[in-house]
Amino acid sequence: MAKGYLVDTTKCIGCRGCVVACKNWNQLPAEPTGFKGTYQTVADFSGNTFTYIGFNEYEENGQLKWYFTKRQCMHCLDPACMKVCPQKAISIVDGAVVRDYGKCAGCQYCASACPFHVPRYNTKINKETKCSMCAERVAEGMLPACVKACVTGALQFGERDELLAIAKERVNALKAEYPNARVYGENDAGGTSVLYVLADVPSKYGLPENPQVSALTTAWQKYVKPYGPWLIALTAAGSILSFFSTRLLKVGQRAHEEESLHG
Amino acid sequence: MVKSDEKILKCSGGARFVHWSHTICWFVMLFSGLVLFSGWFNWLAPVFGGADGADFIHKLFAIFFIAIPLIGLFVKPRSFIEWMKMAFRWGKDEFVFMMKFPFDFIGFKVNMPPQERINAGQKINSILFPLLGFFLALSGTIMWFADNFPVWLVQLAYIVHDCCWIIGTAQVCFHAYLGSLHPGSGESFWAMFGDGKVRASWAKHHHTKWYEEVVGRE
Ligand code: HEM
Ligand code: SF4
Ligand code: SF4
Ligand code: SF4
Repeated sequence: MAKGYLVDTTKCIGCRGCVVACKNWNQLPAEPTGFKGTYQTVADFSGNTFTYIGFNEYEENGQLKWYFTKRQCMHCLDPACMKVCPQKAISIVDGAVVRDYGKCAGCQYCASACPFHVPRYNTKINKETKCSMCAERVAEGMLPACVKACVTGALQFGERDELLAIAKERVNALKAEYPNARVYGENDAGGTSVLYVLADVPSKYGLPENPQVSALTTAWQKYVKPYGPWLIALTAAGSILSFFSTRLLKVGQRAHEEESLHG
Repeated sequence: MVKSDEKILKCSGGARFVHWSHTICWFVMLFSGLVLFSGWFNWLAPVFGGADGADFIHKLFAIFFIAIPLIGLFVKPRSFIEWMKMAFRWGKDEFVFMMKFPFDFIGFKVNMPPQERINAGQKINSILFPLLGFFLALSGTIMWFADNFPVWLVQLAYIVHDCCWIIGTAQVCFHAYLGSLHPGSGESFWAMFGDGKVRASWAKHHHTKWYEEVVGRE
């Protein structure tokens, strides 16, 4: 069984230690942020930001409540990004969906195919970037940088099926107080190696309720790309056929007899 | 009166410049694009210095691809308008030409109705290519700066881009063959490739209406 990690949102306090650890380990430059009327500092992924904490703010029973979500690549079991990549730059390494920068051409196809819109373009290196589940650390027997940095135990790394059992147990315990509590990622988007324990519906956390590869991407991949180019073969074959048939029938030539030149 | 072996101008210098420079762009962008299209064309990648290089060349030539027709349009707006007016002028002669064309294509003898400076098939070409070029440039720009557009638009742009280069390249096969090796076409090929001129006798036969306009009725 492959590795994964569990994000227990009910244990997250929004300290952003994981965000800093990720930047540190991956040597990503800090990007200037501005105040946008929320406590959330990093608004979205970028070519230099693989993870951030969503501060989803709600007023409930006259009380302000935060629904923190650590966002990063979900490490899908059947990744759409991997399927659309023409360069075969993306592969699965022990549950982690990783990109080979040597092969990536920077075409950005994976970005819009991803049901979570995770990969982002880094203009400077002309590559698409995202979280790698710290595959190179894991290969050395270390924890992903973000998991190691987490002080509350909201992040747990391990075998996916063991984490799934832990997540389900936790959800059962939460149900009494939070009736909408659920595991996210067990079957969503075909199952993901990153699992979430949510106290409420996914949309409250800024996560898609029903993550799916869009119909446009499917049409592009399934019909346009494999069948379209045959049209070129057809007209090329037609032209070659005409080249020979006009010369065999010689009628084309006779029609142009008035001109001395049969070009 | 023009003598039958005298030559008349069919393609202006500007038209020839835009035509051939754009053709070069088309093929460079086609082959660099194919490397980005699928792993099938990996063998082409070394030509551009890898898939990275193909991406770079594709974007570099995109600038020329957009700039060349814009320069043409800027320098000679009127000839573009004239060209488009002619391309969109369709009468009975044009439709009969297109209906009879498949027979000519195979090699049967057909009597074509008189044509203007560009025949009905060339008119279709004259509408199709600028249209495809426009949508290639539009979708390509969205794909290039994908992060600045809504995701659905980027997803749509991929389909548009692929449909345009596929239809365009399929049309290029017909166009290149009909404009060179198809019986009777040699003259106009050398006009486009050479000094832009065709022999009056050829023009009279292939583009009767235009011949009469330029040379006058006999
Ligand atoms: C102004 C014009 C154009 C622009 C801005 C443009 C831009 C792009 C961009 C950004 C991509 C994605 C890969 C990359 O980042 O390099 C792409 C892919 C591609 N382009 Fe273009 N392009 C243009 C014209 C053309 C033309 C004229 C052709 C062919 C005749 C062409 C054929 C292709 C092909 C085959 C692909 C790969 C598509 C796929 O993988 O589905 N493009 N283009
Ligand atoms: S979340 Fe997106 S980027 Fe990550 S593995 Fe799934 S499809 Fe790929
Ligand atoms: S940007 Fe890179 S990883 Fe993404 S689809 Fe293109 S080549 Fe593959
Ligand atoms: S697993 Fe590694 S790359 Fe991914 S968010 Fe955590 S620290 Fe960043």
